[in-house]
Amino acid sequence: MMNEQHTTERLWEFHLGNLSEEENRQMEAHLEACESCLRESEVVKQAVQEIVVERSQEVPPFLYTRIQGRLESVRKPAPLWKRTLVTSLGTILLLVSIWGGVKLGTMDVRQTSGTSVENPMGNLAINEMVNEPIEGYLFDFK
Amino acid sequence: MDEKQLVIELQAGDEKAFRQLVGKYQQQVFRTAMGFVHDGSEADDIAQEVFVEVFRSVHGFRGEASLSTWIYRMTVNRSLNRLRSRKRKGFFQRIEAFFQDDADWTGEPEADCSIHPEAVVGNQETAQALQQALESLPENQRTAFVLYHYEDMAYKEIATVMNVSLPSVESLIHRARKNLQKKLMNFYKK
Repeated sequence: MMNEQHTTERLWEFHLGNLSEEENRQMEAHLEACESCLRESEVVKQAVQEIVVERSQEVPPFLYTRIQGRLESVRKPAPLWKRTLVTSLGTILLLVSIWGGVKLGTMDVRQTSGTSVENPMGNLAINEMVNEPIEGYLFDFK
Repeated sequence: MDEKQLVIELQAGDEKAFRQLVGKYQQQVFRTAMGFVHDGSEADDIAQEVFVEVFRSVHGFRGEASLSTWIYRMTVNRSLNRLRSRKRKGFFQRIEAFFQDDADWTGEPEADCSIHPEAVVGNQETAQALQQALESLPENQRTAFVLYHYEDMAYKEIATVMNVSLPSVESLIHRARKNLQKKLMNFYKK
């Protein structure tokens, strides 16, 4: 008679029908005598049956049509005018940003190098640490 | 049409060849995906993704493995990715539930390492218990188990698809069965 360890290890093959006739007979004899193996055998049997049910499911119809639908969106590139428009807008935006940055930078340099008499507050807004005309601001009342 | 010819025609962009490929492999792709996700519509979705991927990347197919092995690998990878994203989604949903309503929070991971008998009823009991037990297996054990039990693949073929040795496949299937048995026994004891 098979020992218990051996039996539980071969339960899957038993329920899948992969054992020889002799092994099948031995297994059945053991299951009649051993209650714990019988319980385990029932669990494996149910699992195997469930797998058979799942694997017998057919592919839903018209799979190829659905795949074609997906491929259409993959194959079709956006129209040329759309791609050109997006690229141009992106380039314009980039150039405007660069131009704005350069403009801001030069404005700062010009204002810090100019006299503070005409617009004493102007420099304060740009760079108050470098050019704060505190004396001129207090005493120039003309 | 033999496999070599089919590949050549696919690489040439022949739609007829692609239709033939889908017809030939759709059942195996669907069945393998079912073994992982246990849901017909999700398995169908994975099958679509796999064939779109085949269509897009067949130009790079060099024939080092057979076409069937290549498609199996894609199916397994797609299915595992689907399960990972499902798990991530579940994690964020639990966090959301925690912040929305404290009463919903159980703090238990989703179907990870234990089977919740209260979640299963009636005839679906076994199905759900098996699914939860399968989902709790490590990915390599699950892959070997699904390819063997859902696809009837030989150990040698499984070794090729998984890119592991033959003894590794034997060991993976043995451990997967043992773990499943243990989890299912625990479930029925409750």
